[in-house]
Amino acid sequence: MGERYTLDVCGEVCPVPVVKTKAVLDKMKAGDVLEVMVDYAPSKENVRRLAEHKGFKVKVEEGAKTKLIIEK
Amino acid sequence: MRWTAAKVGFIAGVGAVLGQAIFKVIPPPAYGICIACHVRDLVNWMMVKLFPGFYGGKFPGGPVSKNFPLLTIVGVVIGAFLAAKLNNEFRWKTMRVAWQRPWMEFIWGMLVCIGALTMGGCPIRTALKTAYLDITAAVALLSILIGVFLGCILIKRLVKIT
Amino acid sequence: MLPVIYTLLLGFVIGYLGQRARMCFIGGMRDYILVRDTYLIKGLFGFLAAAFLGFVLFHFAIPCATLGTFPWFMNGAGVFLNKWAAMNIQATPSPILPVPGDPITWSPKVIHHLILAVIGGTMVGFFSVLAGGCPFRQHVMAAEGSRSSLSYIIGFALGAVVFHKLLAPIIKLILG
Repeated sequence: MGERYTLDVCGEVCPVPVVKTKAVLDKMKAGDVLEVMVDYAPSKENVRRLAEHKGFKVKVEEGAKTKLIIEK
Repeated sequence: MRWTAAKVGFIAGVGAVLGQAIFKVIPPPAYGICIACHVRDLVNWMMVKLFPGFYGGKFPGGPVSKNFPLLTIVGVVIGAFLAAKLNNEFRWKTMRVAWQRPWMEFIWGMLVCIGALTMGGCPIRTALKTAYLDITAAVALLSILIGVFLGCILIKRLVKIT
Repeated sequence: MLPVIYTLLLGFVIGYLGQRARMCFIGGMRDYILVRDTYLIKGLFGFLAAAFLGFVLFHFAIPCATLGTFPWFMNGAGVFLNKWAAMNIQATPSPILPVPGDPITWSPKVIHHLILAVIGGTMVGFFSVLAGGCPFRQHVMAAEGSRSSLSYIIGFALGAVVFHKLLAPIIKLILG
């Protein structure tokens, strides 16, 4: 079982969510999980695209604040 | 149909050319679509109507807007608002990040408009002029890229702090 | 009235689709530089391709008076000036001058335009990245309800007035 990171980027607009997410993704190892909370649709799409592009697995939990669960 | 940025960019290009070729959005040339110039036209047209001597009797704007300003920006705002409402993405919000607060955005807005009018258009029109084979516009487009690069360096520093 | 109605409709279409697709040219450059993401920059390329092909089509395949000044370098100075006069556009002395976008750039010297282009372009790129998007994207975000972007477009409109009232005469003075 790996590390669990959380990132809250609600209220932040590109490029901030993506830059912060990338910083965490770059130091994640296999088995680590990152939870990102977004409340802005483009942020959700950008973060998801970034993670999938880097080969991570992404699960999306919709809600008032959408949660993206990213796993290496 | 999934609207990707590439498709919309393509449509914008087609629309801009048609504007000049068929719908008489000229003079000046390569004016089919521009956020900065058309906002400038609209604002200056209103200023001249309200305060006739404000610009010394001249109309600083595209000649095609002299009698009645181009309403591109009105269309953009209404269209985007409708798209947001229909897809339930409309929500009053204020950005949390320090340099994206309303007072800072006001300053950024002024500076971007001034920069855009200095170089002869907004980024979209600069791209249009580049497609029109205007070398100065191509230089401007590259300068935008350099400016973006510098801005990214600053952003990376600022994000590390917050 | 025709251009007014057309641009209103075009603005509407681009505004609607641009909101759905999150189109933003400067965002494209920024995303590529920061995280090598090409989604938005394909919008810029699509635009350039469509515009260029459109201009070529209307110049060579479908004769069109209003496109008479394209492409610049193929027309030669004399033909260039005649076509411009016929379209009621104030003529410029040289075909390598840029497409005019703004009354202050009627200077006959190319170097002036290049200086303004570099300074203006860098400003636009730098401050747009800080603001979070190109002017188009900001207007779309304001229409989505962002108060920050609403404040941006007020500053934007004021910037236009400031530019023409204060800065344009200063620039004309400096460049001579």
